[in-house]
Amino acid sequence: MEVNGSASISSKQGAVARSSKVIYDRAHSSISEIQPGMVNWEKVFENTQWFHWTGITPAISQSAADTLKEAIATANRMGITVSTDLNFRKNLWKYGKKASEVMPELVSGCDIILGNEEDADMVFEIKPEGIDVSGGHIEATAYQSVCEQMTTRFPRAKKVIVTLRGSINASHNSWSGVLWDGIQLLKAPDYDITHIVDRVGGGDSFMAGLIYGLVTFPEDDQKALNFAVAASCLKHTIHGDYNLVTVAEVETLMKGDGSGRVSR
Amino acid sequence: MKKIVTFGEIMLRLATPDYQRFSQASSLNATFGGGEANVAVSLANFGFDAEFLSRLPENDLARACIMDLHKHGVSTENMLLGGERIGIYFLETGGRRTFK
Repeated sequence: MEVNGSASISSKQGAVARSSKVIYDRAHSSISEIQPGMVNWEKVFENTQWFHWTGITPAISQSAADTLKEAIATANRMGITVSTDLNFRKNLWKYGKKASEVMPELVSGCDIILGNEEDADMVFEIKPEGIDVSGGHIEATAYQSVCEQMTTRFPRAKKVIVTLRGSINASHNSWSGVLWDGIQLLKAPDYDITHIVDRVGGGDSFMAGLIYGLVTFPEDDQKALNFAVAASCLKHTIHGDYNLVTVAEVETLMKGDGSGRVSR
Repeated sequence: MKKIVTFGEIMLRLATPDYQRFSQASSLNATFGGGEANVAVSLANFGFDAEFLSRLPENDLARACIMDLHKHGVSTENMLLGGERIGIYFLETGGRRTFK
């Protein structure tokens, strides 16, 4: 892994790429059959500072979407910070409604919104200006228009964060992120992840790092954003969905030590 | 510090080993995962008080899933039990091989 890397992001000669594939077998899962009223949200949210959900849950079923609506309304009433990762998954929306019909009401209750350019486009038809999203180099500043459109449409949102993944191939991605606070666009360092072990959960690890950062460094959004990107960089080196890294390990990478030397 | 709650679906993850194709694999590596649970696990690793809420069936597979969350420090004190099954996702990890 190279920090602030200058490595070429053009395809290397002689490289062949095969994408990862996911097959879902999740129809009729217990959570898809959850019903509004099953969860006592007031009780769940006792002693809670933050509630996080993703765009996957309202895609599962109408009743899951309705239960989520209860949760967000309760969290808003109780003054709990609400965050979402838009996480658009086209193949999951099968119960007869589109993401564009269901998501706006849910997102309007959120204080923090995380997504990428595809989420914003597919869910809200909000498009970045002046970039080619099919691959290659991505200009972070081109995302400011996406962020501004999001905060205009969802005025409750104090911060909009966009993950910047450049896919050179299945094993080699560039990785960064931007944070819009309504006034300025902050940009994290660029990381070059040259040998991905497992990228599933990469966005989730970014979200967790962001929550940690925003809670721990409330006066320093740049540091929170940098923590999120560094944390999720490390996730790409770990098998499985979970990002099993500590704060100290993330901070080591943030300080610029991407050498991979054995720590003794 | 006050807790952080995430809500969503957690699944059994069955992944082919060693970049194998589905058509090659004779075994699958079993772990658990799902967007909101992944966030809770990562926050617990950072030392935060994290809780994951979902609905899981009353069977041994779901119990293994809950034990796995506990192993990683995530609370499941409000987990709903009921219904028929835990979702599954199958993963074939792609990759790049460079040849000269």
